[in-house]
Amino acid sequence: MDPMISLIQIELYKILKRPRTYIGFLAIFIIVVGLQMAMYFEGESLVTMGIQNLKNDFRLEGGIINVNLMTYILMNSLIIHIPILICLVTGDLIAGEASSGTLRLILQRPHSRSKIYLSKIITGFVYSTALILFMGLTTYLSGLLLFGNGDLIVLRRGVNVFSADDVFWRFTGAFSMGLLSMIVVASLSLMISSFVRNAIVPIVGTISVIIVLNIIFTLGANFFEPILPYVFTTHFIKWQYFFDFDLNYNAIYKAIGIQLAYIITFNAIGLIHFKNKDILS
Amino acid sequence: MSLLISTNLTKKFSDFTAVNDLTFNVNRGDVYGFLGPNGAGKSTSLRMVLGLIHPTSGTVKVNNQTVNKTNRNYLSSIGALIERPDFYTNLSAYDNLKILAKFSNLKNKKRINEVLEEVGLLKKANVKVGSFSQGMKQRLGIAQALLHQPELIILDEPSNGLDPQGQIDMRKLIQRINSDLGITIIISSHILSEIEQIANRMIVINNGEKIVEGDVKQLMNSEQMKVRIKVNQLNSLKELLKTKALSFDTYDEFVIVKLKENEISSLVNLITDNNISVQEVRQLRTLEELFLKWTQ
Amino acid sequence: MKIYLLFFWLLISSSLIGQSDSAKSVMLSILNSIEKTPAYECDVKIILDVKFIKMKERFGRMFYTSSNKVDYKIKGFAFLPKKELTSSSSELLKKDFIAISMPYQTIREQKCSVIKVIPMDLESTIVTGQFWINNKNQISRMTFITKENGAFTADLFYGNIKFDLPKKLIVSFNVKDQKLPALITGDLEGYSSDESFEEVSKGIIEINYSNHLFKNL
Repeated sequence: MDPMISLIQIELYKILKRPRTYIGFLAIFIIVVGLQMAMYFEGESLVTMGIQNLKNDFRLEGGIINVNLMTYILMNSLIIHIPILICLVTGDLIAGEASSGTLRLILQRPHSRSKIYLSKIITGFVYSTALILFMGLTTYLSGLLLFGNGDLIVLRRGVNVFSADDVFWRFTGAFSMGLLSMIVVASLSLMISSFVRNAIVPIVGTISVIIVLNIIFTLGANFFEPILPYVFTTHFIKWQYFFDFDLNYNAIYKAIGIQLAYIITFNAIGLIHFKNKDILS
Repeated sequence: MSLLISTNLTKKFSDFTAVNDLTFNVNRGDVYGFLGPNGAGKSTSLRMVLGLIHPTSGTVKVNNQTVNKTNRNYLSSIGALIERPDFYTNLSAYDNLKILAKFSNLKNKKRINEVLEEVGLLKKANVKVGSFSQGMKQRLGIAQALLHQPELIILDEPSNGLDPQGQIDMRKLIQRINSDLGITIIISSHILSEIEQIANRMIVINNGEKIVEGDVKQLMNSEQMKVRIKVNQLNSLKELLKTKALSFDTYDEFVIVKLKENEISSLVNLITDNNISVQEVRQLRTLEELFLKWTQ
Repeated sequence: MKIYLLFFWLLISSSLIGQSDSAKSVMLSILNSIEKTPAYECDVKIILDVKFIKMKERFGRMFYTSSNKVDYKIKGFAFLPKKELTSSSSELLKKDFIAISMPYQTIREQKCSVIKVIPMDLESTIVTGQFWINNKNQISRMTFITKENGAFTADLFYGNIKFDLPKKLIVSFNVKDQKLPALITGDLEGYSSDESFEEVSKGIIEINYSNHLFKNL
């Protein structure tokens, strides 16, 4: 078997055996079901508040709350909640092993550090993908059960209404973009993980970076405006671009490009450091 | 024939030099003692052999393969237990070895049970390592080092944290590995009597520099040691020693004389030839005293 | 002289009274034709043209039971005129009103009589209405000014549908675009500083009717 595949299998095996891995899935399940139950009972009033002005000018025919709207709303958890859950695992991939001493154990084996680091990157990506897929599936299945299908109404730069048969490709694009953002998070936490021996630091560090940058972006500080498009957290919401009535492909490509650049940069820094660092723990 | 050769090995950290110009070699079949006080650079040196730390300068060759950042193949012939035995505590002993076997591209799964049996842990194969005692973890550490049938095993403080029986068991295991399996062993230890008992060659380092290197017995023989002698006629012995210009101390009913090892039998013969009955002859000087002397 | 002035005044007044009556009778005949329309259902295609709302056309079925009861079954979600025009017309014309003839106007190359209707009922939600009636006694256009929902105008296009039902209706009205909090919308990028908020713009809803199925004929 190709050594790289073996290494990836080992890493996946290790994270599957850790209870911490399942915290993310459990948390997502709770968030999804909890929010959907809340919307089931209280959603009408919330939606009414959002579209009150429209009701003044129009007669609205058709249901607003459906699986598509719920999926859209839940995708906003990609801004803070999901990054935290991803860090819990990816931030521990190297620092956790360093603090427990098992890093020493595996680096005595006849594999290059690059391959070992790469296997951890890929494991982080697989985990992130699994988490996002799980979120999508859970949201869709429970939403379909509770609310049924219907047109998607998105209050984005006005009101965009998408037919039920026009949303699947949009959500595919949106989830893909969301996954890319989460891979940036995984890469950042893995990079920090390669620098430290304490497993808490990469988790807290990554989350802190995300929260601070999000606050700055949300407050829309004019001072930072020129650099904001190049700050990776600003792209956590770029999945919403797939819900513009006419897609702005240039903006989407730019967001993809910037995030890929961050992924490459974070991983390159982490890899170079990991290759050259002395294992003292 | 040399299995491992270190030439001018040096490691400088930002604020101090941990290993300085260290040259040593380990022959195939050796049990090679690596000695030094705390902070002498033993672990750093061994970590450089394993590629865990990158040397500032100098080289290490294992099986004629130079250790560097890109060449990792030489690790196929090395097993190691560096510092404490750390494992995935949420996994069983078997699962831990299964992971490490996969790391070593080991296809024969039976080997896992073989090494567990070798170290006496077969019955605990499915127990989570988190519940293992220190002794069990140390043995599991040896097991993982043996897993891929290496030519060289490096053991850093293998008896650390073990009770006296555990230390004896560990010593016997190491000796068996060397004698039965023909595996070369480098052992770093503070339990010097252990080294004395099992090592045939050794190096002593202090402040990152080599102090002495060589055959254990030769190093001990080259140094005088204290011999305690008990006789039935103490005064006669004292007179005899004075006539032979041998310095001595008296302690209770004993006389303590400084001698080299190969001089002991001559002295005993001299005493008995002078009709003094010898009741006890005991060697007091050990490797510990040598070690302290060398590292002062 | 006085007799001539009295005669002249009587002549003018009678003609004035005559014009109000004829305008009113036209409106009443329109009300009558609305009321006589039997229940029916038909296919609808709804096209929305509002600055801040983007959506494709919607298809569905309309169920007309009476001037005050119109239901829709739309595939998906749709924006429809706030008030049904038949309902507005009925509301205005069923109660007492004043009808005033205005000068003729040409709408879509058709000469139309223009009648302004003012309700006598002070409680009426409609302040005033204006109708453009073509030579077939069909409403080509109507405008309502309401107390609560502003003003809206409807242009009606006819084909060969029974009971003078239109084949197409275009309703235009003023719509207010308001920015919603990002916490509700999740649109954290927000609007650019170039875009204006709370701007009033013109909204148009076009409804095409086809495949009518009349009941109780």
